[in-house]
Amino acid sequence: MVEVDNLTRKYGAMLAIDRVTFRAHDGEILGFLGKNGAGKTTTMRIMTGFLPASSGTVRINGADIKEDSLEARRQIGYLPETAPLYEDMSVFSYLAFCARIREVPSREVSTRIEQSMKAVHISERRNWQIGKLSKGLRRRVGLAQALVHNPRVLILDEPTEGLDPEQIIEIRRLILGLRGDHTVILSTHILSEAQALADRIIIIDRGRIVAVDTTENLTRAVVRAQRIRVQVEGPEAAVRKHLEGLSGVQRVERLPDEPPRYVVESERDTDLRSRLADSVINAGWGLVELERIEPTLEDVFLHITSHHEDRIPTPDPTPAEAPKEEAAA
Amino acid sequence: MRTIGTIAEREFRALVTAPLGWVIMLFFLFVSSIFFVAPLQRGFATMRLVVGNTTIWLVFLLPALTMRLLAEEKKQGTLELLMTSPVTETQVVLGKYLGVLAYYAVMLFSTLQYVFALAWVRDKTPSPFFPTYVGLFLTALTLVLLALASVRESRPLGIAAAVAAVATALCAGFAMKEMGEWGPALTGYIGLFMLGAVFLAIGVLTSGLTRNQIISWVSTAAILLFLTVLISWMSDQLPDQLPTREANADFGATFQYLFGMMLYGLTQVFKALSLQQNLENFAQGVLDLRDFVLYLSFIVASLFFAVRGLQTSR
Ligand SMILES: Nc1ncnc2c1ncn2[C@@H]1O[C@H](COP(=O)(O)OP(=O)(O)O)[C@@H](O)[C@H]1O
Ligand SMILES: [Mg+2]
Repeated sequence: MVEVDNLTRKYGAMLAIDRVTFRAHDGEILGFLGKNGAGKTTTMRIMTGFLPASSGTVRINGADIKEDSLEARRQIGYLPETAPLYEDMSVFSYLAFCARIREVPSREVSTRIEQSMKAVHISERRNWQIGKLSKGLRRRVGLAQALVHNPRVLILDEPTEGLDPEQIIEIRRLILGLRGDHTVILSTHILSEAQALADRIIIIDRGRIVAVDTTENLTRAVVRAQRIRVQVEGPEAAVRKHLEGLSGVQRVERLPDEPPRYVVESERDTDLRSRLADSVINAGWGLVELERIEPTLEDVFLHITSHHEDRIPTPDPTPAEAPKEEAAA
Repeated sequence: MRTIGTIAEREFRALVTAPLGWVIMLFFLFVSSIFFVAPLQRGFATMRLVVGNTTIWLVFLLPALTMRLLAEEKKQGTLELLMTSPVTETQVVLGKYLGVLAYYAVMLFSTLQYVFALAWVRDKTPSPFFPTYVGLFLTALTLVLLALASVRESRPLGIAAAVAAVATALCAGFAMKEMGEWGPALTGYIGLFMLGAVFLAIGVLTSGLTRNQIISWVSTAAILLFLTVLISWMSDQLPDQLPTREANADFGATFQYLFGMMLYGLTQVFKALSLQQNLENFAQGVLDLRDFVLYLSFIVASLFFAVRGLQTSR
């Protein structure tokens, strides 16, 4: 169990996160969703003891990250935004180094390394120099590093960011495999990623938590209206009229494409797709395309704005973008 | 303790397996060999000049060993790895320091070849085979074993290297004894080691205050230059005697007296802080507890502030 209470962090005068409070329960995957600059990395850096908070507390299985820092850190595996790798080391010796500083007993070190390499499918690269690995492989080494001491809590900062689609699928599969054995907190700015991986989702915007819910509830709430993109081969006016006439349809919008495509918006909790397909085919037209439009993070914000006026943070008077580089002394 | 050892080992291995470490080592051997060969050509063979003259080179070489230590960790984000593991800032600083200190010890170790060469040139030993040839062979063997142990990450090879190093040291001890320079050579080495230990500690400190390696190198070299050459030069320029006080002094004379006192005090402070001064004692075979205290206080203070720097820079 990870308990985060009223976490606040300022960079100079800028409030990066503001009274962030949440819980991560044992064995669950918690998605930390927010746009770039929302404060995800800052929160995670504080949770892992890298950054001090301006105020607020973090407890990892009861151990306070500030008061009882070493004990708290012992329970954490952390994959920062950029995997923290020593380029000159081989995969194996890097993982050996990580295992030792995480206090894995000497005689368990090699089995733990084997297990973590196996978990991320990198065993055959054990003797490769890390500097020579591709981006996807480096991310996997980073994940192996977070797993090598078999921590109870895993904190992953944008684990699929910057990877190509195949690598994303691979990493997502790895993460889903961790559910149950570990408490996983992962951050992302992509709604569908949070939906694909997380049991519960926390949405953070401009440093404040604006929504916490199960993925199911949140998805259902967001999809206030299902939206489908269709392209039908048939007389334009008749097709449009037909679509508008279907029961459960709220709105039909013609896209500026040629041949015409339409976005059909349904009423809440109605899945139109199979009925729409049947009726088009029954009418004797050709159904060229039928695709559900996935809601994005923007839709979530729209939804939250229209339904929970009171929970919307007022914009900060301080600038949202501050120079990210710390000044070198 | 284990954590410090793990960090030190990684650091040492990084130096042995990277080009930078070898470049620094070879350059060091090259310049120290000049001070070995030059007097040899003028007909006398001694270790004293080697000890005395390498200081200025260490001022520029050792900061290059330390510049990456913490600066690079910050830059490539691995500090985040260390500081989110159950590792304290003190362990990080000590581990890094001990790793680079061990590498410096290897650098000094490799100069033992001069001792063996001297033993032969001076024609004091019964045969060139022992200790000269044996010693040179052992020195080379140790370095090769060490490099292999680091690259292969092999513990048995590491132990073999340690055994070879001890054998080399015993052999060198014998050679020094034959030459009758046992005392000065040993204290010279102790002095060089302690001086380097101070240099490296200051290097660790500046490396922790920046993420730019070049800044770390330049600022360390500047500090070291001040503490060795400049400070000795200044204390040479300043009066080394207590000013005398006139019996019935007017205001001007009193002022002059007080000013003289101040200068004298400054000279003494400079003298006390001058690392060069102490090294000359060492080179002449004098081991003074006060020298050790000075060196140790430099080391402890530098490392202490390096730890503080790591704690507060985040
Ligand atoms: N080291 C830093 N110094 C100053 N401002 C920072 C620093 N790190 C992050 N910020 C600012 O804090 C805000 C939150 O950043 P961050 O936590 O990195 O967001 P996210 O990870 O969600 O993209 C941003 O406005 C960012 O510019
Ligand atoms: Mg981020």
